[in-house]
Amino acid sequence: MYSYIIKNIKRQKSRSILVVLVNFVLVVLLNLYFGLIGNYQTQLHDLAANMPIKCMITNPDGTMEVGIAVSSDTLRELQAAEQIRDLDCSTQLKAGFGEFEKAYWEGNLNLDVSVVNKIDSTVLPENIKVAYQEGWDETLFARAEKVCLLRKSDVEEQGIAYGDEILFTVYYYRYDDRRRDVDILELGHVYLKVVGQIDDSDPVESWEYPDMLVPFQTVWDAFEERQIDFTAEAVSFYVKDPLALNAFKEEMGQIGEYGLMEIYKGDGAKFSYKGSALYVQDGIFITMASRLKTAIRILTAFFVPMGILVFIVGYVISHLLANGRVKEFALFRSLGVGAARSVWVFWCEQLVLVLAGNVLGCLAALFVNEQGIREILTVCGAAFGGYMLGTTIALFLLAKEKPLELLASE
Amino acid sequence: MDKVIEAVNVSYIYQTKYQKTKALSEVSCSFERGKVYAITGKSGSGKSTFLSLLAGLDVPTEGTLNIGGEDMRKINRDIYRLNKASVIYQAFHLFPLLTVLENVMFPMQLQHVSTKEAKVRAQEYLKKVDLPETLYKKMPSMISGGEQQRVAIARAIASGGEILLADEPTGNLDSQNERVIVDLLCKLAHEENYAVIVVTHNEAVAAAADIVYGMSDGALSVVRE
Repeated sequence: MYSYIIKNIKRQKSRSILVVLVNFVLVVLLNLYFGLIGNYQTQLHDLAANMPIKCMITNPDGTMEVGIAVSSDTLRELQAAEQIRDLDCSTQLKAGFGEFEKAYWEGNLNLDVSVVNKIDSTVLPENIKVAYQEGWDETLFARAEKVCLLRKSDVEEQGIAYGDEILFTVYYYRYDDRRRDVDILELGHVYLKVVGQIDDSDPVESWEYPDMLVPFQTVWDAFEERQIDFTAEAVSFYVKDPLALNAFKEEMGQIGEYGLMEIYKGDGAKFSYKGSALYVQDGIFITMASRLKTAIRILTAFFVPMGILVFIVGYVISHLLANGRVKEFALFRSLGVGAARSVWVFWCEQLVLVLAGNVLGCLAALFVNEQGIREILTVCGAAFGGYMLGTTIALFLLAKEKPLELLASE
Repeated sequence: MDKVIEAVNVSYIYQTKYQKTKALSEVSCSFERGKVYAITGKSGSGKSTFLSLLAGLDVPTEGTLNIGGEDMRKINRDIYRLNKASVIYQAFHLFPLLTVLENVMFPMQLQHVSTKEAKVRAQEYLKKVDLPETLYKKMPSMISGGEQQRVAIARAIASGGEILLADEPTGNLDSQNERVIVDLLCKLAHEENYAVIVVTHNEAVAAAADIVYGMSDGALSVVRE
């Protein structure tokens, strides 16, 4: 029987080539189709990494220049938030060397202090480098160490060496309730160890950059120690999973007194000055992600029709080929080959040709597509299954015919 | 003589969605080895239906058809066709993609006879039907109708059965080839002890038969015994 199958395949070259070709094209087309979906899915997945969504806390009217005051409670909630990453906080203080009273602030309170939880939170010109004492690095900003970095010029002027603990008088400033005047309030005297330098040997005239850098948590702790409300003046972060923007926005809506995602509006007012708002740079991401998701949704909507199409192709081709061999089938039956065995012979013949087409299709797909072997084989399996299902049904319908009626004609 | 097939009150009804047609009506007869039987009748009289039942391609709606004493319904009809009964058709129906020799080898290969032995035996059968050796490797389409029918007969006897059923075996042949085929069928019955049952319109074929049945509207009658 198997030699009969091989002989038939060899001698019916055009028919065999047709079946191989159809299956080859089916596998290549299906791989292109699934490859396209896979490509879009990869793009969508990579979009989150390639296009991170940055968020910044703003004033309720959307401005960021001055007046932002993010409370300790909000900061704690942000630190604990599950949907954000790379939280970036900073605030500004004024300080002076040594111990002095508020009345003598002029001439003494001359250090601009940036309080940051990352070195990146402060923007320094490219030619201004930061150097650390041995054993220290930028991770110090994430900890609550009583340390600081000073400008190189100040270090040299004051004769300070790495490791020296220096006494500073620190002041903080706040807008009053009407956001008009600045209150300068004393934080107190603190000793900070100098563990690094801001190299200002080649200063940039037009650039205002800090005289001193202090870890964020150190200052926060100092405020709490003195039972003073602590606020951050700039807070930014990234959405952890840009593809879960709704979960992120829901979480942000619950942070702070009024929620960061909704600007609290007083009765009849356009904006209220209570609370903070969140500026989310998600416009381009949403546009891109929406386009990709739409493309994926449209393509995946064709899953079932594609499956049906493969089945129909298998059925129609097998039916047409079987119709041309209906007498051969009847002759099998007439010679004593059982119906199931007759179907098996025809089915095996198709199987050999379909497998040949699928193998060629897979090889072509390997060159054409960027998909992995596993994906290609899965697609090939689906094409094979759909086609052979069509073949099986076509052959079982053929088996229903009465042999002698088919052979007695002519 | 052994009765190889015995029909007892065999009726057959074609049933479609909309109607029932009685193709055979209480047919009773028997067939023995060593004889040639002719079943004559007009088109649509039920001859081919009866042949289909005798070949085990279908079963009677009513009545029994005994094969060597066993009810046709109870035996494996595929095995029956494979080993006992072979059918010869008007249109020869050789496998178009197999050579003459391969066509004759085919039934033996179904019976799991080795290729080597099947080849030797096929050559013997082809000699028995007087087919020139030069044609053995030719494809069926390359030989004449008479030669194709002889190949079909060789294939029928290759299965080693005892019953040859022929449906208008000379319908597509000229008178010269018709004579050759009729003589061959008679020889197989009389010398090789086959039961040969021929359905035919042809009076010359009927004249060569030992027993002639007539079929009319599904009913069988003896024309000549």
